[in-house]
Amino acid sequence: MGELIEYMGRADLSPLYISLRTGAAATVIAFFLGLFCARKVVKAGPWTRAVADGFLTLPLVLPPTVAGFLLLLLFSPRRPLGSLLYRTFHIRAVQTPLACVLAAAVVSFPLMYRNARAAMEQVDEDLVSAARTLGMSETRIFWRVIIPVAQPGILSGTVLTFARALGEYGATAMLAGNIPGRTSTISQKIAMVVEDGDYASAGFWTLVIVIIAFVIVVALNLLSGDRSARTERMRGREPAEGGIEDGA
Amino acid sequence: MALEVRIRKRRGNFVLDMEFSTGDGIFALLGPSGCGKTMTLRCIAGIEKPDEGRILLDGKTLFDSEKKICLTPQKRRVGYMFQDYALFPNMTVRENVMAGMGKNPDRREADRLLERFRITDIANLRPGRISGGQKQRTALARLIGQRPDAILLDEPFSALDSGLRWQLVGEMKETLAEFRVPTVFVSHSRGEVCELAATVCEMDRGKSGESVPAGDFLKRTEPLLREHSDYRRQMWN
Repeated sequence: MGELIEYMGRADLSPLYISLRTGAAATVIAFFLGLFCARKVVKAGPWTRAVADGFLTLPLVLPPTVAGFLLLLLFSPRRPLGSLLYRTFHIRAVQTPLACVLAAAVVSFPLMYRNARAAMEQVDEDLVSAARTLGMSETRIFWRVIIPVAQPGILSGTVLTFARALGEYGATAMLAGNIPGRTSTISQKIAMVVEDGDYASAGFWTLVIVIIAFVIVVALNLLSGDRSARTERMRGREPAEGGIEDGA
Repeated sequence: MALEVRIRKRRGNFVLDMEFSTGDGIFALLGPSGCGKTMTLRCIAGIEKPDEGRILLDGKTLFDSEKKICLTPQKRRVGYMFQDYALFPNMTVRENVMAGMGKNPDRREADRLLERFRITDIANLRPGRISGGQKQRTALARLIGQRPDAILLDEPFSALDSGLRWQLVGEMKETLAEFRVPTVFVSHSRGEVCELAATVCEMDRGKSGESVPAGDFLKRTEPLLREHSDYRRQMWN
């Protein structure tokens, strides 16, 4: 315990910042990409839907190391895409902070996509039809009707995505390596210090990640609690004041 | 000023085969649930696509299977009141009314509608917090606010309890008399139909019958009269 407190005093907090930055950036990417893909898949026919859904869910079911390896194949400077990026834009994806973001975004993407899709599919079809007969354009319907009505599911999807991106290890280790101060996230730091037998540091970082995870889950519960109250109201279960129509 | 409908649509064993045209005044489609009334309205509004046929509104083609014309619901300018009103749960009553008024809705016009339908006091509430009658008035205000070329009403009174129902039937009659566009009213209640409609068409398992003036329809059978007098009694009590 004494060691732990002593470590807290002199700890280099860069893994925390790197993890938070990576998690935030990956969540933003997964958020917009997830909404976009969810909308496309919801509108697609049954075959396209099944195949596209399978493909988009892969990162969730594959071992993260497999995702990491595939990303490495894609972005390695010795490969076509990787070398193209480097030659034309001077962007190096492997072994950089960008690699952390890429790995975390890919691995956490299915959580965003699947939650958004489920939430959108639950939006009452009649609301969309009503919006169409009212002359609202499809884009307007998406932003003004579908997204707000699906909002609770989308929010919880976003929170889960962030949590997953924050703790990403397997794919990050393969694509980004563990460079202190640059790509060394909390989970990578823990793996490294445990290997060195430095249990005090491992304990400190474990505590940090447990606290963050706990806060996230509590936030999620609060959000989904709000959701059930909302649907209740949406179904009109809750009677209006008095429960009786106002007079003529 | 007329809506002409001649459509066929197959769905499994069920065949919808409708032919009618509306004249002046409200046109009622009467039939038990499951006979295809809602499906007919959905075809007119452009939510469903018929297999074949033609739908004309004031000479404008909304749908024509031979000419391969099928306008989107947005282009049809047909106001549709859903059975459960389909108010947007995320918007307030005022926002719901403004939703059908185009990209830049005029707030004063919206306020006039709120006033006219006596929902000004609930303008800032969401649909989850208002009563059934207020929901119906909001839906009607939203529908009138979009300035439709035709009006479709799908069982607009079925979600209301009976005392309130007849009051709103009266209000609806007033509104529609003022806002004269082809109107199709769908119901399973002979009482509502007799009170509102000028022309009645009875449906039977997906097939439209002959269109008759409401007066003749009323006289036709004994049980009808009895139900209608029940309704009269309800109204005065």
